[in-house]
Amino acid sequence: MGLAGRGRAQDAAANAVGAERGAAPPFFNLRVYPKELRLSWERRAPGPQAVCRKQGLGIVWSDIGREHCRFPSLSLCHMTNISVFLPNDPGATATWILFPESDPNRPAAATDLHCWLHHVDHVSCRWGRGPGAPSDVQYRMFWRDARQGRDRDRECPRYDVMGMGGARLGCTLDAVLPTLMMVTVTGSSGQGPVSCSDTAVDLQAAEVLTPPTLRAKCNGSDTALVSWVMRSRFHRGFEFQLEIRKGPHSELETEHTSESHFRVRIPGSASFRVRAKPSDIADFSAWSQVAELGVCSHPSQTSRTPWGRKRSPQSCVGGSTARGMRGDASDGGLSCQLPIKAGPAATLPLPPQTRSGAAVTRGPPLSFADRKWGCQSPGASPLSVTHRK
Amino acid sequence: MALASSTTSVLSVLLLHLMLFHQGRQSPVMSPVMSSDTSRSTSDEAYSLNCSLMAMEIVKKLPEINFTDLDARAILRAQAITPPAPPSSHLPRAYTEDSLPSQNITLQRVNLCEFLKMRRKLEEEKLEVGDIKSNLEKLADCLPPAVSTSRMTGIYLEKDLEDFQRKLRFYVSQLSNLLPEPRPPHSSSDSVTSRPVAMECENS
Repeated sequence: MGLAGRGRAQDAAANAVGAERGAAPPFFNLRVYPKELRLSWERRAPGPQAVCRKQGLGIVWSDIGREHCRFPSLSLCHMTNISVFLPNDPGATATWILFPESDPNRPAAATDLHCWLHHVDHVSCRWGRGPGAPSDVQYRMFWRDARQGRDRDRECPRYDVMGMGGARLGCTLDAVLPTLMMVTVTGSSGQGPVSCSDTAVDLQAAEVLTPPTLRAKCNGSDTALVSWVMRSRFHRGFEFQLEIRKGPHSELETEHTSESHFRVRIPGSASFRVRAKPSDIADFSAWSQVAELGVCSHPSQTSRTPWGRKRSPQSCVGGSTARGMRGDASDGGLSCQLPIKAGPAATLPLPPQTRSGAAVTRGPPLSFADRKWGCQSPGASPLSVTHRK
Repeated sequence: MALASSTTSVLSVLLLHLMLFHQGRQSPVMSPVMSSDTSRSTSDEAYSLNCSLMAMEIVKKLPEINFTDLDARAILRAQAITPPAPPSSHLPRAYTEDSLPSQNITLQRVNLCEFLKMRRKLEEEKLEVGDIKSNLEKLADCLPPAVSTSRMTGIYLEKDLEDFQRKLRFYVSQLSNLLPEPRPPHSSSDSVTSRPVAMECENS
């Protein structure tokens, strides 16, 4: 059994309320066991199954036949009101506790801690310097499976953002990742204590999807077979939106499919791009690179989309571009030219807009028709596809 | 509602299959016990397809609402919360890192029971849940049989249509393995090393 965390309980107040109403709430002696993510209590008399709520968030059932609730995640840094009550009469039965009980120096703590998953298996986290942080403050970031205690914390292996005074403000890690992750940023200073900040990150919700890898090839003299591969750490089922432009001046056509391929009649040249939406999220990924097909005079003509290449933050990718637009010789001889006219500088994929873990993905700044840069394999024949972004 | 044991489920499914065959319909429904590898693989594929279709049908009938309750997402993903093992535990490290698979399967079934119960309550309140009752009940046959006997706590559902729909949509979208475990052809009297436990949804 872990040690019960110190929390400021409402027992006295609860008893006062109970006395006012003529009956004390059924729960008392609330205590939190942080290592087990558990709120426990005692009851004045046996009763129906209770429920618990953390500070206005969702409700969880107590374990059947037990006088405790267990949470999938629990903040150890931010004072949180955790309450237990009977669902059929919350007003009269609610009893709460604050955990942790104290917060030594919140103004100095890291602010706006948020993380997101990108390029399938990279997690980046960012935070800000606390408004009341002393000049010598230094931050350290740790992460663990949210179901585990702080004894399982692992420190960030690579801090990649520094602020004024050398304070670390960001981290990117590449590891075997749990679905629900707890990230903690501790602070230290020679001038006094600094509170920690932590946040639970649902990596499935926080995944910034890597766009599909698209490939098109001729299948007969007037048909193209367009196919793609979608890689995601947490999502399996996708809906795809395929955009087709048959010739440089034709209207855009849009197709929707849950398959990873599409056959389309093309009168001459055509270009394609695709994006993906997981079935449980409302937003699409960024668009894939554009794949172009010339006139299908040869059945084996294919687009020159990089196919099946392992992506890394430094490789040239379409859609959500990464740092480093230029490939190298080890990348199969594929060289990526810098954009002639680009939007915002290509850095890490933008994080989700909401901080609560809902995924929001954003497309590239250029329009489908405004392809100004791309990857071209040297030695490409005139009739093969020139793959441009 | 009683979720049928695998034996009863197999028999009822075979009966349905025979009925459909006599009516001249060719599309297989659910037929987990087959006599040949070829027909078993075809049947399993059709079974999987039907389970996936059922899940898709349910998802389509529910509005897309971003679901950000992290604790509820974890419970609906069937990540059972397991207490940390003591340092002297002989269990491999993997078992202390992740939920045991049997717990996850049990939790999936417990969650399904919660949705079925709440669907009934919402319908009694004349709230428009959507035409999902039939597919939702059939989902039970798509889940692997539970082997854990411990009573688990599932998702908490408020008597609120939006809460129900949001959580159900997420739950169904997370059911990644809707195929039952392949069962070799055997008679019901064969002994097996572990028998699936009959799960019952308690009536409210």
